[in-house]
Amino acid sequence: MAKKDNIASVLAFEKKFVPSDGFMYGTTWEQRHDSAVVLKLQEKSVRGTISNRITKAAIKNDPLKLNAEVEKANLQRVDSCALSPNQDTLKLQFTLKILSGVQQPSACNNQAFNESYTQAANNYIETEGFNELAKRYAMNIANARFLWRNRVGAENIEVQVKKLNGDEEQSWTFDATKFSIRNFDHNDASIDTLAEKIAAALSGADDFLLLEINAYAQIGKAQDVYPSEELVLDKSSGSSKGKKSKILYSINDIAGMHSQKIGNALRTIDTWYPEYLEANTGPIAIEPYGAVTNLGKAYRTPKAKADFFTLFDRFARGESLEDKNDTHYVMAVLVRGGVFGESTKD
Amino acid sequence: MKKILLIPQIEILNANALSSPYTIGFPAMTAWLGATHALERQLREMDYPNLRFKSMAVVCHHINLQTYKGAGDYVHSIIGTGNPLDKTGKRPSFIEEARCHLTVSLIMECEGLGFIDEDEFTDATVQLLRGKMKLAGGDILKTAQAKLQEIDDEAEHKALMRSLMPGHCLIERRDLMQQAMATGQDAIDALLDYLKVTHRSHVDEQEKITWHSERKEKGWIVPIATGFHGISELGQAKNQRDPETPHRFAESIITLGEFIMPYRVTDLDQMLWHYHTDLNTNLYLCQQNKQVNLSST
Amino acid sequence: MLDPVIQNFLNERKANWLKSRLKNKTEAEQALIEQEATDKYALATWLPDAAKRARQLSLTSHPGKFSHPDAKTSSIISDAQQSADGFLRTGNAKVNLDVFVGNAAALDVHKFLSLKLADGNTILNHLENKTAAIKQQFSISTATFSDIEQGLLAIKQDSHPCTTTDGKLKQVYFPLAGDDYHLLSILSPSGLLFKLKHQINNIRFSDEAKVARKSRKDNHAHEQGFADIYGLSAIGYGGSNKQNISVLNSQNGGIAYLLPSMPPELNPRTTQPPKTNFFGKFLWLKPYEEDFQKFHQLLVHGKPNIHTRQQRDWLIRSIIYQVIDYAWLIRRLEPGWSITETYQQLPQYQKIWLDEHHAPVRSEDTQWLDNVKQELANWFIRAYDKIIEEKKLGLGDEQLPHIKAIINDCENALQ
Repeated sequence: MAKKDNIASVLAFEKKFVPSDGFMYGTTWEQRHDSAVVLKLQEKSVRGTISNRITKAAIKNDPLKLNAEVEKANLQRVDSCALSPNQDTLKLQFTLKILSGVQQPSACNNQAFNESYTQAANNYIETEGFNELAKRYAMNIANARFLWRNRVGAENIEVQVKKLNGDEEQSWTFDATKFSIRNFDHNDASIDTLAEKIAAALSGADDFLLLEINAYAQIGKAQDVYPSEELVLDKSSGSSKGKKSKILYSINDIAGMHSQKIGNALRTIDTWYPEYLEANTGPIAIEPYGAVTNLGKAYRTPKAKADFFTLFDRFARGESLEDKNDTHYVMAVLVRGGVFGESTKD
Repeated sequence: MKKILLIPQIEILNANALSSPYTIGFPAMTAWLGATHALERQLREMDYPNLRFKSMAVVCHHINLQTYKGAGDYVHSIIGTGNPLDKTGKRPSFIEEARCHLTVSLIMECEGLGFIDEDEFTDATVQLLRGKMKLAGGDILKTAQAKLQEIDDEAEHKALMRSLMPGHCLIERRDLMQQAMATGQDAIDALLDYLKVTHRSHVDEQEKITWHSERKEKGWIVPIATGFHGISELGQAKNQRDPETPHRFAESIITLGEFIMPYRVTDLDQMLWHYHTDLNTNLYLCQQNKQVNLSST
Repeated sequence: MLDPVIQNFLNERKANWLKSRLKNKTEAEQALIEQEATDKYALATWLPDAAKRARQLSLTSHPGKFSHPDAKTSSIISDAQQSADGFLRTGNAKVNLDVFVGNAAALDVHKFLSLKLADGNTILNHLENKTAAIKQQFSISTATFSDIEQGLLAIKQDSHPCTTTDGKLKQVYFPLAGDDYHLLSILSPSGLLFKLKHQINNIRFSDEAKVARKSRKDNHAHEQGFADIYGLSAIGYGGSNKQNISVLNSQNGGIAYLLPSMPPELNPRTTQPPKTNFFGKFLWLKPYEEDFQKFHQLLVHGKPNIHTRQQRDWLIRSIIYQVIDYAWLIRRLEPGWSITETYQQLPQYQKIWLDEHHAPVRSEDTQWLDNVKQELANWFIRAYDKIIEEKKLGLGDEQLPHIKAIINDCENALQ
């Protein structure tokens, strides 16, 4: 068990997967490689209907008042974004940088801990070479999981990947509809070559890898597309009337997908959490407690001894974890990065 | 003569825009000097053991601050990023983080390079920036090719300044704060006096009333974070990130600065900044090599 | 006699305690409860109890929870000195200490210590100075003065046995001369944050400001006028648990202001390029009036020496710079704007100058640049004539060469 003289109260890792924001363009499936027009946000006023139950007796029992109340303009202002009537294909473009150096914390205040961790990480690199993780990351590029809601119902999806750094040129093209987003069981030669590049960067054989990714989703003419939604920490104390109820992300007037959201999709590779088989949630994003935001649930609890901190404490001090998948998970959290000082674990 | 390393057009995503607890926007000077220092350390570990970046300048070409202001709002609100959930599946409490996306050019004054292959040096620099480093807490998406240049005469200086256009470089205007504080104003009033826009009415001979607005000083004057102020004794503290280095608590300090276009800079030292520590007053500063004379008096 | 401020404090707390307890009780029960309250809030009972609880709070100028809600750090009380050094920092504005709250149930103790006695000093001040007045006030049968004093002054002590920082704080290596470093744990001075907020609100929302603001709206004159601070952002500390961050945070609704620190950015929606002539009415003269007036004064009253000449050149440069800055803002517009019909009357040389669409041809032939320089000099003289009106001096031959020389100096900013 953990010896108490090698505790790092300050411990942090930089992320090794660095996506840019995604930029959204509209085009047609036939013309997709030749031309694309930036997609802009539009502000809409939506006339909502009164859907909440009217409880005031005075209104409920007076038909005239009730009518007036129901017809009251329940105007909501929202951002929206859509293809134009002559476009049927969404193009999403981003770059992805994959860095080496996971064996070095960006901050660590305990020498003994640092040494035993680096040893453990180097062992992992030697024996596993990041192959399993790299394959899963590559799969999440090929299956276009990063399109999120824009992936749903698309007739055709193509993902083009181009290597931007280094001397030799290399590129890949994937038909994303051929790859499942529920599992990572596929065997595909071109995924393997992409995975090799990712593994080489993560394990330090290459300094880093820089990819440009262009995804095309044929979703139909004039269809809505879904940029990221902004989380406004509203402090304006103005009245809520007339406030915009949905604010979407744009960069220099181009509709966009947050880098964090793309990153979250790329690291959705965890099929090793305790309830994986029963839960039917599918792969979840790599997170220290296996938390899934839209479910408000954490799948890896300290109680089940399946959380990152429990596993990492043992791994970093040289213990080998019985289940190899636990080791994959630990390394994937380190690739994600974060602040993991020991006093923070509770 | 100065030898400079120019790294043009660096695109940075999600840089820290909370430059101090009082300010939001362009990242703090300490962040730029800090990155310069980190780059120097990494290059020294490679093939350039005597390299020093004596001072540096930053030119901002474009900045996009992640805040939101609804119609009728008095203040902007910060646009957050979803923080991960804790072990109970709840959102933990957190301190709001403000971010910006920006494009900058950096200029570093080099010393101790010796006789080197300049292409190798600039390639190594760009490789470090793209592959290893962060800037002001943000991710580096792109950089143009770095260049080593000698700035010897006016023509070279002007060509360099022209290559930095369009953009704005940050100049310290601590002189304004000092003047105001010397008259007995406290630091907050001195600062706000230069930031506020005053509206006054004027009645002419025909009794016609006009309102006009003005600021105390011309130019694009802003508060800027330029360093730290030690607030406790030097010593050892539990949980410091490295037990070997003397530790103390400190706070960010701000003063006034001005954004000007580079073509106005007639001497490179007017835009370059360096570290300066004054342990008598417990000040850890970024300050300019030379003050620009921007006042007419 | 007990200072009325202390007596009122105890009475209030007693009334508060009683409020919820007296309802639906018989008279006999009420009498019992009242008796209990009288005992509980007698100085002899309350004070020794408060002295025990004071340690659950600690005074600090830099509460760690502003850096991270879970940070646990030493409670620093900075004693930095004032100096006109040009920095906003602790010591350069008078603020009160904040309170780290270990247990919110002890907050009444802080309130008590902040009470001002008849002489205007707080109870805390009195205790620190062990005044005769406070000894007299605190002479009770249930505890000695020194026990009470020590107990209450525990609010000034750090609850951590040794200096403690936290991995959640930003810890910065600052390089010193040589290859040494100091490691700085960065904390926020909450007193200054909220004093800044207070001063900003004063500028914007004081009664005087409101009256003056109304005057402008109605286009009436107002002697003092008023001021605005634009571009503020708000930041929240502690979310729905403001009180967990600190007492000052709680008092300020958990919200502080952030001043904008941004370079000038062009807003393409509000900037229109010139339709007929950049140097015509398009260049609004108002922002230049002050510099031209000074320039004029210098020409009329300046002694013929080097200082005057430097001043004159400085003013010319200041005016030219402002024009060039403006031109650069227009260059940031979407290239190609000048090709549209709206701008067909704009002279070609100005299109080349101002529209980035023409950037590739700028070096081919520099006639356009000569035109810009000539027209800029002409504009300078016209603007001077217009602003100075009847008292003007003919700038003509004497000043024109200086103006042209300075414009030439800025040539690379025009290209």
